[in-house]
Amino acid sequence: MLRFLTLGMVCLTIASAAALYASTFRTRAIAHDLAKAERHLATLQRDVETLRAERAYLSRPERIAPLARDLGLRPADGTQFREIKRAEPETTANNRRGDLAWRP
Amino acid sequence: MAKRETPGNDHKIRNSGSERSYSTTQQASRIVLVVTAMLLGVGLVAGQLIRLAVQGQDRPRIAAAAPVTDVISRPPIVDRDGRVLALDIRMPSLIADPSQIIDLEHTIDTLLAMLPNADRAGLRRKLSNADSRFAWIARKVSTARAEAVFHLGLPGINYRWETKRTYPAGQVAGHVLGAVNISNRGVAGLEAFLDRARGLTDRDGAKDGAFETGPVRTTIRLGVQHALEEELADAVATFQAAGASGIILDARSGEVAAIASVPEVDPAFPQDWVTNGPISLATAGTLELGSVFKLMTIAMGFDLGLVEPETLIATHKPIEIGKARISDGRARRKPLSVRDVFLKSSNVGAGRIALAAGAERQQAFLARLGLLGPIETEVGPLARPVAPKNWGELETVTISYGHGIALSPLQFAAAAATLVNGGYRVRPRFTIAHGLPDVVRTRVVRPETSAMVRRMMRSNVMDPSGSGAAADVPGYRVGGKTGTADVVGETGRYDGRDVNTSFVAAFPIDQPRYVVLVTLIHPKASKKTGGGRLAGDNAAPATARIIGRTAPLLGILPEQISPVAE
Repeated sequence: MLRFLTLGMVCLTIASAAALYASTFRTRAIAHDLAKAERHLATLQRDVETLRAERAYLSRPERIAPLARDLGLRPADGTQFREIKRAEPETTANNRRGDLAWRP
Repeated sequence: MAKRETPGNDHKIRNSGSERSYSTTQQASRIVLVVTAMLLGVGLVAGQLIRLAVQGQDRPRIAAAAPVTDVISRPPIVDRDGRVLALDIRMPSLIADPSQIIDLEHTIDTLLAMLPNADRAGLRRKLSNADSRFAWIARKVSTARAEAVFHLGLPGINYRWETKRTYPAGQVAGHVLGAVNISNRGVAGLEAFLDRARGLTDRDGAKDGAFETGPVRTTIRLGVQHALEEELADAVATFQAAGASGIILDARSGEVAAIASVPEVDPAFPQDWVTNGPISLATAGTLELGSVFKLMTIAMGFDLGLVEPETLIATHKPIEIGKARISDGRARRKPLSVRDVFLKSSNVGAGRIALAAGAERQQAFLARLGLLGPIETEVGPLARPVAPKNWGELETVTISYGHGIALSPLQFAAAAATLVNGGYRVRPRFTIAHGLPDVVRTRVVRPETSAMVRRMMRSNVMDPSGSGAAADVPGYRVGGKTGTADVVGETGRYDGRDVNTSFVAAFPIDQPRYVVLVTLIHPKASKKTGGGRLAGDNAAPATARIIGRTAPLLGILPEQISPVAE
């Protein structure tokens, strides 16, 4: 009886050790994948930060203003505002109500 | 052969030819011990399995060398509309472990070929110490360069990521943003405020203080700020000024929409300015602002019930206090109404109103507007006002027209906003929802006073005899006041060589949304100004250009336009 118990215990211990080993192995594999994913995430976050900075750099007013001036644009002033209901579309010979009119 | 017997028990065990006898009790207790030990072992294993199944493993940690410098992460700073003003990016720094370098000369030659800015002597000094385990080769280089060096496979040469603060908008709002040091800690402006007020995170994301992360939203509007800086730089060039400051302040909330100072500073290069560079003329320096101060004096007269717009003031006689004699530049034959005192900017008129109020009530009124005490803001404390210790009759008169008291333009702009917004105290703010308590609307001036002051400011721009005619911007109903202040020369006296000119404006004047204050330092007379160097010749037209350009960006519709109904 005692021998069977001892044998059973030894088997159980070996089985447990094997299960633990397998579990640890899987855990390490997952941890490795996780670390890899985190490194990738950090790289992507770094890229996002860099891209945000580049976007802000490219759209800075100091750069856009001269480009806009070269295109003949200038800052808006008070005379350029009109109420929408006063903004009649220009009539032309070919299109009496202008191009804003919707035609099916 | 040893034989052990226990009385009353004759059970024996034969083992390997030798015979030992154990009592049944001993045998049983040993079995129990072995079984218990085995059960304990199995239990531990089972327990660990269950724990792993239930909790999972601790988060794995990647072994890495501890950071040599304590570099911290900072939250991004964005403008009012979310456009990025400051941002952390990660950049590689090249490092070395000198103890692992095999061929020093080859390593130095190769590094010099890859890093043209490095110097041979410096590299040799850093890398030749074989006892050392760490040396910086080049900090915060481009990723491509760091990887190129790394892929050379030089023993002992590596790179590590560091955080670098970048200011992608360039110099815009440099004085407001401030700067950080090499360890990414704020040393000036808003950056220093973030360290104090919000707490920061270290490299692993652990927080320094209990504050939320996420971008810090400033009240600055990038487009408006750029327009203000550009127009100020133009004004400095046009009027040959030594410097200038400009402020656009929300008249109700105190939010600073734009604030600029020429010469400007670049937040990316703090070593050029933080300790010894140009200060912000708008916040860190004090100036005698001259006649714009009459705004306060006349408002005081209204608020204390001393005068009304049509009250006549004896401006045709100079004020004499002791040996001092104060008169207007041009002789006047008859008294002027308070309205004309404002429009013609009469020192005598302002002085007589101040004398009628007296020094105590003048001080109390200026203190109510926040002009005499210190003001703390997110970009640091404003320069403390310089007021006379002995505030007698003469000081009462000179202060009535802006001499004898010096303060930062932002402090004055906030007081002007208080005057025109219906009388509610305004404190300048640079961030939204952080740091300072929410705006508490405290009325410090009567609404009737505010209305009368607004009407005068508008008259000063509309009336042909007003000093601020050049500040008119069609559609935006600008009101304002000029100020030309003599500057104390090298002799320590007002020698008339230089002046500082200012224009304080509010628009749309009926219900002001914004207050603008432009100050030019030592502008010169020129043909463009018709030979004049008064505020009406330079600061007023500069203000008009600023308002004309920024009002559409601030969402202010011009007068002839009402909001679209459909």
